Amino acid sequence: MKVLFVASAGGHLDELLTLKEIFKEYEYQILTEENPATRNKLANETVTYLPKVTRDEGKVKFARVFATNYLKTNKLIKTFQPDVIVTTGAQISYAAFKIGKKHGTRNIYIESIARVNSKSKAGSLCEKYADTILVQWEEMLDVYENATYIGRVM
Amino acid sequence: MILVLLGSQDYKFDRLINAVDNFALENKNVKFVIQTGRNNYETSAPNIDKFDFVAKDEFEKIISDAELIITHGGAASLISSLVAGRKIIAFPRLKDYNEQIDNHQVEIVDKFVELGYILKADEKSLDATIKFAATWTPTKYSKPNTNFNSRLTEIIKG
Repeated sequence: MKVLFVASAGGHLDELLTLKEIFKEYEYQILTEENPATRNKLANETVTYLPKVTRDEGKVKFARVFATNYLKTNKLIKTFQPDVIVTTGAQISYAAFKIGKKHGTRNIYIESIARVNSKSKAGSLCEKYADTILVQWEEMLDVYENATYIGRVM
Repeated sequence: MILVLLGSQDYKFDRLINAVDNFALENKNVKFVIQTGRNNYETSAPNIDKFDFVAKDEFEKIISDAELIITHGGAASLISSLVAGRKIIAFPRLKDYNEQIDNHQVEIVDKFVELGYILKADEKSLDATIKFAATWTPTKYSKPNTNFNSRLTEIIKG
């Protein structure tokens, strides 16, 4: 089985890497963002890096990078052909889920451990493309309509 | 040594930096190390050392050397500090100051305060909270024993 693991840089990637033990059960690749700390964390892995952008860098730059990332993600999914996409959020998981769905992937969204009482923006966007939503606090079962609680990653 | 963690975000966090700077200038016997991340940051306090990013091993060494960690409310920063058994003061990033896209850091910080894992501070209460931390004993962090990985493996299998 082929699995694409997806996480934005920073805490999202840290959450994803707590699942490292299960990575090796699959043929897998990682999709994340370029960031000074990211490469240190991912030595010896097969990784596609997307440029990082935040909304406060301006709408034009955000739109341009978002478009570039969409194309890169599309290429990765076409080439790698994952059966399942697992993400711990945030931003970059939306394109992966949307493109993945077109190619028949099963999508698993793990809401960040940081969310105790509210949905993340990425979570709200990804919800309609997600086959499973996992939340890390029981309180969150009231926030998402169809979420599952199986504990926390750390 | 008091370690200050700003995380890896692009958002500025001058409120925390200035509060630490003020405390450091008034308490020159206390050594500070600040992980500045992507923020450029100048200080006049001689008792503050800085770094931006380091490899995981070195980062863990710095964490284990800290008597107290003051961190933004990023969940990963909080939990890696908790797992290392450190005393923590969380200073959540707020949307109103353009420190984050929303106020979600307050959620996890309040939850962890409620569970007795950490203390919380802002620019007004930081001094008093640092002093209080010296005599405070945190509850030990533990994640629920739910076999997360094996259950996730089942879900991936479909």
